Amino acid sequence: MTELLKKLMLTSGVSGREHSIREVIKNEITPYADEISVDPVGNLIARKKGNGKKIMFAAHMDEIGYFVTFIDDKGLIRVGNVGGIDTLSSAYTTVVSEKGVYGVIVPSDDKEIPKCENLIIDIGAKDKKQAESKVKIGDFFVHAPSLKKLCGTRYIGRPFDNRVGCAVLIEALKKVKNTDNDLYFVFTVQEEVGLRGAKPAAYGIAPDIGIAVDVTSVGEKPASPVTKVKIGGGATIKVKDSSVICSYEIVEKMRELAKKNKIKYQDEVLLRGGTDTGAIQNTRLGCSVGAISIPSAYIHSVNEMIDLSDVKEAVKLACAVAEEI
Amino acid sequence: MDFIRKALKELCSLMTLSGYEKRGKKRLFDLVSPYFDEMTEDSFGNFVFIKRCLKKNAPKLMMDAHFDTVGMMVTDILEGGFLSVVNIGGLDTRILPSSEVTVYGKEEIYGLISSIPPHLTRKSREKRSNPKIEELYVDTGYSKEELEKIVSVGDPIFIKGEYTELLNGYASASGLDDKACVCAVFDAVRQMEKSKMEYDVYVTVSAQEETGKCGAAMCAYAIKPDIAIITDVNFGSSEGDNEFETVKCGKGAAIDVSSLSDRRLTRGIMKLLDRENIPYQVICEPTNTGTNNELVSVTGLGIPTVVMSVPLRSMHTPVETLNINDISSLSNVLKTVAYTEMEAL
Repeated sequence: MTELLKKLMLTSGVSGREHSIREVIKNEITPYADEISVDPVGNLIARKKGNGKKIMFAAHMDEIGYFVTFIDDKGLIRVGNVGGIDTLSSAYTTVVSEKGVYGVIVPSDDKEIPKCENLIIDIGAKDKKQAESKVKIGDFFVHAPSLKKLCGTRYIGRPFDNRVGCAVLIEALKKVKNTDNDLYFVFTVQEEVGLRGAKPAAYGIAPDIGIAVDVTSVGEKPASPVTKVKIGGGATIKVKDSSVICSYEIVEKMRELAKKNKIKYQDEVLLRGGTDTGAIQNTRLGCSVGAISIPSAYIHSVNEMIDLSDVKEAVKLACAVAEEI
Repeated sequence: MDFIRKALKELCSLMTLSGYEKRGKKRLFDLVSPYFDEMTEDSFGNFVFIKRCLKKNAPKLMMDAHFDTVGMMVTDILEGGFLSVVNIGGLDTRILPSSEVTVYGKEEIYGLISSIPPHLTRKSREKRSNPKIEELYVDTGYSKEELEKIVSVGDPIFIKGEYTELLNGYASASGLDDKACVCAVFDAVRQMEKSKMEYDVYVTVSAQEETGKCGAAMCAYAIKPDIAIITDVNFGSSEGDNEFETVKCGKGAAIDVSSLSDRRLTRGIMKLLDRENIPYQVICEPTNTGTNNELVSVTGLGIPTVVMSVPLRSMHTPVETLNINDISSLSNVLKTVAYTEMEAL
C-alpha cells in the first residue's frame, strides 16, 4: 500500500494536465480490468464486467496548483490558482512546474494572508529573458510532492487529496471478488476546478449507483471545521457535503455492509467542500449515490495528513459495496 | 377548495427535507392516484404523474412543483443531549432560536433550538440578532448516551410548524414552500376533463430544489416536454416590503417575467388570461428566478419554460403564510393553459 501511495503521490497532475498520473494508474490497473478506456475529457475508466447493477466508483486524480499568468522584468512569475489554494500554508514553500522547473512561492506583501494574485513564484532567474527560457505563460506549477511517515500509521505529504482515493480504488479493483455487479472504476479529471470530469464519465456510463471516493475534513485538529470525523476513526460514509445529499437508502445500505463486514466507519457531514458525488448524482436522469471518504487533516495545505488504517478500512468498504450492494 | 385544504394539511404534515422526499411517497401517491393514468418515481426522489389527453401524439406539458423543504441535519451529538446542526437549504438563522423541531432518528424525537437569554447577550447585539448555524444547538433533554442510541450524524431535522387556518382564507404552516404549488398543480389536473385537454400533462413533484435545483432538470431530461411550467412560491408583500420585489397575497397567482423563461410563451399566456378575464399578477425577476426553471430551461437542447407563483409571506420560516384563494387561482390558470392549443399561446 505505501509503495502504491508513493508512486501516486510523487507523480504530479494538476487539473487539466493529468496525463502523467493517468499513465501511472493505467499501468497499475491494466492486469486487473476487463476493459480500459480513456474518454475524450481524459477520465480513465476501468471496467470489471457483470450482468447485475451498474456501479460507478470515482476518485479524482487531479490536484490543485497554479498557472503562470505573467513574467515581470525581474524574472518573477505571477500566477493564478487552479482549485482552492490554501495561501496561508503555501507561502515560502517549494513548487515545481510541469517541465520540472523548481521555484519558491513568495507573497508580495507579508502583512496578512495573501490572496492568490499576490503570490509570486521565484525560480531564481536573473532576468525576464532567463525566466522565459524556463517557463512560459500558461505553464502549470504544483507544490512539490512529498510523502513522510509520522507516528504509528500516520503519514504526511501531498497530494493526499486525492491520490489516497485513487489508491483505495486501485486496491479495491485488485481485491474485489467475483460479483454479478457491472463495476466501473473511474479516475476522473478536473474535480478541483468544479467537478468537471465526473459529469461526462457518468453521462457515458449511466450508472445505477455512483460512489465517489475522496478525502474529508477532520474536527479534532487546530483550526478545524466543525465535524465529528476523526483521523484514525475509520473510513467515513458520507451523508452530505456542499455538492450533495447522498441517497439515504445507499447511506443505510453502506452502514449495514460496514457492520456486517466489521469495517470501522464513521458518519460524515462535511460542511464545506464538494466531491464528484454531486456531479454523478445529477447527470442524465440522476442516480443513487453515496461516498466513501478518507479522513484527512490540513486538506489543500502543503502538508496533508492521513492515517493508513483509515485507508485500509476504506478499501474494505469499497470492496463490500462493489460485491454486495 | 376542499381538496386544496385537505391536500395542504396532508402534505405539510410530511417530512420531506431535501434528500428525504421519498419518505412522503406513499401518502402523496395515495392522495392523488385517482387522478392519473400513470405514476412513477426515479432514483433521485422525483415523482412523475401522467394524465393523457384523448388526442394522438399530443404535445407534452410539464407542470413542476418541488416537494422538498429546507431544514437541518445533525452534525454531532454532544454532552447534555445537545445536537449540533447544519442547514439544508437557505435557512433564516434569525428565527431559529427557540423554534420547535423534530429529529428523525431511529424514532422521532422532539427538540428545541436553544436560545441564549437576552441577559447574557446584552453586550453582543450582533450575536443575538444574527447567529451562525454553528452557534445553534438542538436541546433534546436526553442524555448523550441515550441520544446516541437513537440519533446518528446525518439524520434530518424538520422545523415544526403545523398547518393552521387563519381568517379570510389565509393559512400558515412550515413547508408551504413549495407544497402550496404541489396542491395547485394537483387541483388543476384533478379538474381537467380529458376531452378538453390539448396536452399529455406530466406533473413532476421534484426533489432537491432547495439544495441545487437539480431534480426538475432530471425530470425534464427524461420527459422532453414541449412546454414546462415551473410553479413555486414568490415573495408575498407584508408591512414594510417594497412593491417592486413582491406580489400581493389574495390577489391571485403571479406570472414571472425573466430572461430565463420563454418570452413568447410568457406573453402568450398573459394574453390568454386577459382574453378569458382571469386575474393574475406580474413580477419581474430580470436574471435569476431562484426556481427550478433555471436548470430546466437549459436541459437537453433547451425547453421553453414559464414560471408561475403563489405569493407567500415569511418564506423559509415555520410560519410561512399564504391565501388559499391564490392556490385556487394558480390551479385555474394551469387548467386554462392545458385546455389551450399550443399554437394559440
